[in-house]
Amino acid sequence: MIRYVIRRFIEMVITIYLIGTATFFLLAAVPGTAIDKKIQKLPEQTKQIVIAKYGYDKPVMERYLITLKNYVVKGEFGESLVHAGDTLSSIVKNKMPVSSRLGIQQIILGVSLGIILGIAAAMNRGKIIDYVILVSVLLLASVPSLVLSLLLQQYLAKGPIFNLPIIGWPKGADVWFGGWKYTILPTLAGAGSYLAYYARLMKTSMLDSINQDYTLTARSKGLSEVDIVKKHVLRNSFIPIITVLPVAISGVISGSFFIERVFAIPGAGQYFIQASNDRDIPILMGLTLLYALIYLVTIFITDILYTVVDPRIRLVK
Amino acid sequence: MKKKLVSLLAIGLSCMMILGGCGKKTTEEKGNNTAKDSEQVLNTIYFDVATLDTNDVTDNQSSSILNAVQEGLVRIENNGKGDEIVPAGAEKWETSDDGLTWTFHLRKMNWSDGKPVVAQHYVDSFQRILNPDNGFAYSFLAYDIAGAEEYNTGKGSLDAVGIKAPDDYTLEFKLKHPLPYFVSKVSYTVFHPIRLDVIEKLGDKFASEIKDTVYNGPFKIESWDNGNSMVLVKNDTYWDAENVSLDKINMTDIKEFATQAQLFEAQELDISGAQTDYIEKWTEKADAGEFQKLTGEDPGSFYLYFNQKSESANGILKNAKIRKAIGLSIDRDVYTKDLVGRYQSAYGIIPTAINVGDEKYRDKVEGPLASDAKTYVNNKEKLQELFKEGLKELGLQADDLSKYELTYLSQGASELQKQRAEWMAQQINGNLGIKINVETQGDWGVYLDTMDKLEYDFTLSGWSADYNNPMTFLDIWISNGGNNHTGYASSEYDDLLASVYKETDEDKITEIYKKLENKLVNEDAVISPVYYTDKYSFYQNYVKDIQFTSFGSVYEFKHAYIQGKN
Repeated sequence: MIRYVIRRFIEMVITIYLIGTATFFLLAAVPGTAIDKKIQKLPEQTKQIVIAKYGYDKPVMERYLITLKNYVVKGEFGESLVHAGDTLSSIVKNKMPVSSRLGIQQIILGVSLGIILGIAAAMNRGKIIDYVILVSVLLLASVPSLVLSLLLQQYLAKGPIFNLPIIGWPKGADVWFGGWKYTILPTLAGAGSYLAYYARLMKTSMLDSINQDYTLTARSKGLSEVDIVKKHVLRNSFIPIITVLPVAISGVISGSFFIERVFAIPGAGQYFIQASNDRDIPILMGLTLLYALIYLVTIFITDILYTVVDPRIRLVK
Repeated sequence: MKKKLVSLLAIGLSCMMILGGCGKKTTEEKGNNTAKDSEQVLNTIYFDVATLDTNDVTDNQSSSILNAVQEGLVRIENNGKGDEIVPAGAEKWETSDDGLTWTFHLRKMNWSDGKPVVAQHYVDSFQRILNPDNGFAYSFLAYDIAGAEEYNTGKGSLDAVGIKAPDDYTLEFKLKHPLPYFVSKVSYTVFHPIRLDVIEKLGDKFASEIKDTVYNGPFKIESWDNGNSMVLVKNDTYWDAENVSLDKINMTDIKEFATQAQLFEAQELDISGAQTDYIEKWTEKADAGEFQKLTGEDPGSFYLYFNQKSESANGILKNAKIRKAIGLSIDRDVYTKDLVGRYQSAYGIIPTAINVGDEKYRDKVEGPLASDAKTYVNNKEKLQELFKEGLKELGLQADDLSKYELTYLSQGASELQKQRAEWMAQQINGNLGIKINVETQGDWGVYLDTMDKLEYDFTLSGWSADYNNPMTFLDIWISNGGNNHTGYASSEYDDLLASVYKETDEDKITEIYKKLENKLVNEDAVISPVYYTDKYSFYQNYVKDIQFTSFGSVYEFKHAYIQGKN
């Protein structure tokens, strides 16, 4: 086990290094810089002075080595070229909690409802309730989150019945556990896609397990359907769920772009897209590496979780 | 069973419709209320401030906020009749007979920490922005001052720069050539006074610090969530505080326009711009009295750039007559009135919002293309005749025009932009018979790069004024100018441009501007004007005296107040 962990750790470090390098050179290849709009109207000599100030006059390899040194030796991850004072740590402190809370609420709501509906559909296969679930889940999956957000905002906010806020998100002390009314509509808008996905996944997975030999054995032993589901089918059905859950969780951290945009939520999703448009290289580098790291760690944890859920799975031969 | 499903759906749909209907608000008649409201709070969209460092500002978002919390020699206000320069940090000023010396007499006022604002603080500001080690982008606006350009480019000393503070309340400038509109140039935010002691204490944090910094303007920044929201509150230490009514300004970032529209209609947002179909919808509502509408001129100009170095179609863009013919084959009135639904047709490069002295330049000088437009636009014969003359000058065949193919570079991938690009292509193809391909570049950075590298044929782009004078549009086109983007290099144009600075008489200067614009647009057909931009803002009935300026802040809050909100 220890050897496995060490080996995975080394692999992660190498992967992060490769991702970082690839990102740096890809970003350098894209035309346009963060300062383009700033210097557009300047006389030629002034342009050169500003370009030198931001280091864009140096060749790519030199910039790469400077960035590498800053990251590895100095632990400096750079400051935003566009928003004075924004650093990777300020983003993690201010924006990630917002996106994370939204994502976590979406996942809790979407996944749990989805699993319940999936189980209901599998256990009532062929009956009306199965079709109703199938159709509504399909509808939810097809409506883009942007459209769903706008619809919810238009019809459920500020109405005579609900009177939910049109925009906004809890601030300050409320960031994690307060200001629930702001979070209702955005959570609903985003839970839809998780609900749809997990309902179908759960149903298929359960039906698969129901057709296995061990279920037949359990039935012939005389166990009730409910007991069969609880003791045998469910546990085996969870493996595919666990596989995709980490990916969903990493998605939580990076934020839902459209929902944040429509409800004016100050999260990391919008920030990242905006940084791309602005060519805010230090922020893009920092956030890309951070997300890659989170993703890698989550996959690692998932692999460990598999052995817990299914003892048949071994980490190494 | 099936019937149950259908009825369920029907109920669901009708619920949504009823809720939708309930969502709309109708404004009621407010009773007559002449006193200001007790709550003086304004809700606007967020200004994306890039920096709070006065000398480092290059965009109108940062400058609008800094104009609200700081004050310079003058303030730009607009009561609906055009921008006015109003004394602020300076009470009055005069210039010597030769136009080379400007003296400003300062008003007694304090910073928010109690220290007085003195002339040295202005000197410090000019010296800091011109310091070559700082690399501040807008230093060039101070180049009319003697010794400024030399110091800023590392060729001269600080002592030779013509700025002095003979005493605490007098500021003196020595210019290198007379400039009647000097006050207009130094009105810009980057020349507001600064406190070197505060900057030294804050170091790198100066650009983003709101609590430990000093303010001398009508408002202060109370809180700032960078990228998302900002709150301004009244600055009680401001010299004119008794005439500032607003206590608080809440600014929230709303990127999705549908959301912004909903907030404005729910009266949770007090001022809003409008896009696409909202312009028409809200104009109707404004005319019906539900809220106010502000439309006006804007100092922006959009025109076709032609790449004179392009080798496409046997290099026909090298010829002035060909460029002129292409430019005249579009109907500007159709573009502005029918296709876009706003803006103003342009026959010159200098927009109507620009002044020469106290008068509007466009009132004195007609657009150079105006008279030719009357004979050429929509006249296929004349257009093709002009085009063929150009071809002959180049020694190319003029029998089959369809053999010539050019590419129109369009910026922006939205449906709207694509539609306008297609229209351009059709107009030129329909009138001249040449083939036009449309190439789209959605990303602004890539688009700018393409123009910079002269890798395009022709494109529509624009310029907005840095200050209130035609020079800001005319000096772009010097040979090797960084924003020229056309390959145009004419020593005659350069010499004519330089001759402006030798004159002090405004009429003589206007004559030179007229010659320059005619050479640029008509004789050499470097660009072809299409439209001048406009302003379109909507604001609630209870917001009074809010100002929208062309050269100052996007919103000028100093005199605004709330009256009659429920």
